[in-house]
Amino acid sequence: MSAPAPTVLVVDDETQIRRLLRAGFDVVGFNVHEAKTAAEAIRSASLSAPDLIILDLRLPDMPGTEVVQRIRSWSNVPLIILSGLSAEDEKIRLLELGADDYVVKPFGMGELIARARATMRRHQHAASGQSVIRVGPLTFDFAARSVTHEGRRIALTRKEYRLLQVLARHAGNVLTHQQLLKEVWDASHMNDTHYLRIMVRNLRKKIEPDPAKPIILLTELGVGYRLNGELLPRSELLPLAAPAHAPGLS
Amino acid sequence: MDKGAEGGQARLGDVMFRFRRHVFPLAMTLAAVAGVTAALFLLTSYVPFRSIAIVYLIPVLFAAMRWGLVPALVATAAGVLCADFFFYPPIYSLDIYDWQNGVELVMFGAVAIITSNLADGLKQQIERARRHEEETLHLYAFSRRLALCSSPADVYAAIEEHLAGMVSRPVVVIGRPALSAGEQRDEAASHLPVEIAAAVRALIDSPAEPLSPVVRDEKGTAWLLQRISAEHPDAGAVAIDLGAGPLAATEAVTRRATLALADAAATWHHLDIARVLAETNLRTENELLRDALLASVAHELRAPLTALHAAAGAVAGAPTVTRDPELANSAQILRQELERLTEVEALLETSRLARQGARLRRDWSEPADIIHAALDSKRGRLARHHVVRTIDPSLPLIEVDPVLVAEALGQVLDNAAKYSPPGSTIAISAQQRGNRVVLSVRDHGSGLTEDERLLVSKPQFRGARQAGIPGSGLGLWIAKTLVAANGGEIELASEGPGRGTTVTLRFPAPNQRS
Repeated sequence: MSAPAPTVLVVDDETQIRRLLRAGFDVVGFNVHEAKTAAEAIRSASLSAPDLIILDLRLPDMPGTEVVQRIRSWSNVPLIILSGLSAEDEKIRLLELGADDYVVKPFGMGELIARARATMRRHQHAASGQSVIRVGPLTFDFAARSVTHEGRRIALTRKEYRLLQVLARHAGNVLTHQQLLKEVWDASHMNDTHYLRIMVRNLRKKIEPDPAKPIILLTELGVGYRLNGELLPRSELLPLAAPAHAPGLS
Repeated sequence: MDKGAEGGQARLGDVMFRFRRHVFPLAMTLAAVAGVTAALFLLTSYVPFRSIAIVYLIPVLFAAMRWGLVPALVATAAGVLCADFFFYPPIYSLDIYDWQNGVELVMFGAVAIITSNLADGLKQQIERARRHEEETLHLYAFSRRLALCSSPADVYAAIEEHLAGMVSRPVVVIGRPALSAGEQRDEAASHLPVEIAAAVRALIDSPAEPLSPVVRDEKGTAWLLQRISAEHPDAGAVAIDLGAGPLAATEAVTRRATLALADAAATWHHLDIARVLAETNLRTENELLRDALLASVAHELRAPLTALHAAAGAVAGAPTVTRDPELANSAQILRQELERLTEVEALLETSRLARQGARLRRDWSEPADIIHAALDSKRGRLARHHVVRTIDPSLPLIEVDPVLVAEALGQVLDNAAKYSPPGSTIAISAQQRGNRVVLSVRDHGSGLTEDERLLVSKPQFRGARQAGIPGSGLGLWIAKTLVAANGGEIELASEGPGRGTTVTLRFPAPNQRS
């Protein structure tokens, strides 16, 4: 591979978890740095500028929200949270403070890697200004303002297009209800979740093979929505794809 | 009754009262004097008797003891006159021949007056003592009653029962608003004239001492208002009807009321503190302890579960394992059992939330999303069943906390899987019925008897029939609590043992545009 290996900073006070994260990211070609505390993490992040940070919320010396805020104050680095069960409030808050996504413990490495990839991909595309995104059978062409389903153009209202556009730009990552409402409607509708729900229902009827069992536009219960990152084409994810000689973990 | 007749009645009552109070004793006194005179007549006709006047002391003392000083003095005067008229020569005339008789009469008068005073004093003392004894008995009975009180409400009842008897006037007790849920307080206050009720409320609400304890209402009736406890205005107050007459007796009534209320206040205070402490302490401490325990257990489980989960995934994916069927099988078991452990952890978390009830975040939610999340979370458990979903495409949104409802539904699915044989069908459906969204889970498992159906949603109920199946029995109780917290209802139905169970969750769905 020509590009240098990306760096990931894994932050967790539990040794076993760090070990597993190291193993997981190692296999897909990352350089892994570890941190046990928030202070260590912030220092490491500022010194070594990782390409990705995996952050556990229950650090001994600082609450997760503060760590995210600190890091976000000088960096846009992809940031994925390891959170506990039933903490929707916390997840929403972190997402709004700038975290890109989260996985709930106990999590599968595959899920974590998929979300990490999606986030990094998004950053790359944002930087390079890519205008076409493919998610499963859907193709978003932002320049042409069209969404096609296996080649066939889908008729969308302006707001429906805007919603899909926002989700696609964050394909694979979760967006909170409020973030979506703010983007598609405006700040005055930030609490009108029912608008969002109805629109998602209509959209699913248009884009999902089986609207009753959505596989493209997924709900994160209590938090928001995401476009299924596993539908992103693998080829787009170089250089993060597993090296040919190593067994895949994803 | 119109005012005229009412006034007439009052005047008549007044007259009767005055008669009894003043006229009757005098009449009786004079009658006594007359009686003594007659007796003396009889006596002197058989026995020569010189000390006439001394006998007239009898009615004097009698009147003094019975009716007081005035009748006694009247008896004295009557006695002097009768003695003079009927017995001292010249008889039948008020003249006196013998100056010694005159001296006798004067001495009699003096002695009579002195002894009247003494007797009257004695009488008053006896009366005071009797009143005091009566008061004491009343207070004692009241205290005994208070000792039986086990709540502030009891104290109010005790006050009502006893205070009226103790002050001999009608009494209205008004309790604290927090205690007597709004309506009760108004009900008591409704027995009072409006301005008195307002004055009582002001007395309870304001911390300052009232300017005057006696307030007159529109009809001219005087009311004595007194706080039950001087230190705790919110204990409530009493309003004593003093009647429409002059306020002479106020002091006595106030004194008695204060005495009685002091005891009541102390009891009330102790009971109230005790009650509040008991409720708060017991609930809070127990709950805190329980929640802390649950939280710490869940927390302790989380890290090892996470590590195990990731490690099991790595092992299951390793080529060495996938190539060997036995190893692959073991790895599969590892992952499945770990998933169950994770469910246990989730159960702990949910059970804690179900108790706290504080976390509820209700918002418009898509029922289909909730169902999918529930099915997803119990994927492993449902793997060996045939799941059929029937979801109406245009269901109204429901205003619930979707995570909690999904958890409740998950528990229901868990139960369905647990109590029905592998390979059987579990049907989950979501429909609109009127203004409700109805989610139901139907299995073809062991069903419920009527008794079981009634008891099964109590925590930890396991019927005898289910003895061989592992689990805590908490599932349905959690589901019920979570559903209720979200404004819904849960219902179980079964056609009998062995004929499956249908669990229905119903949520209100006010009319919406779809």
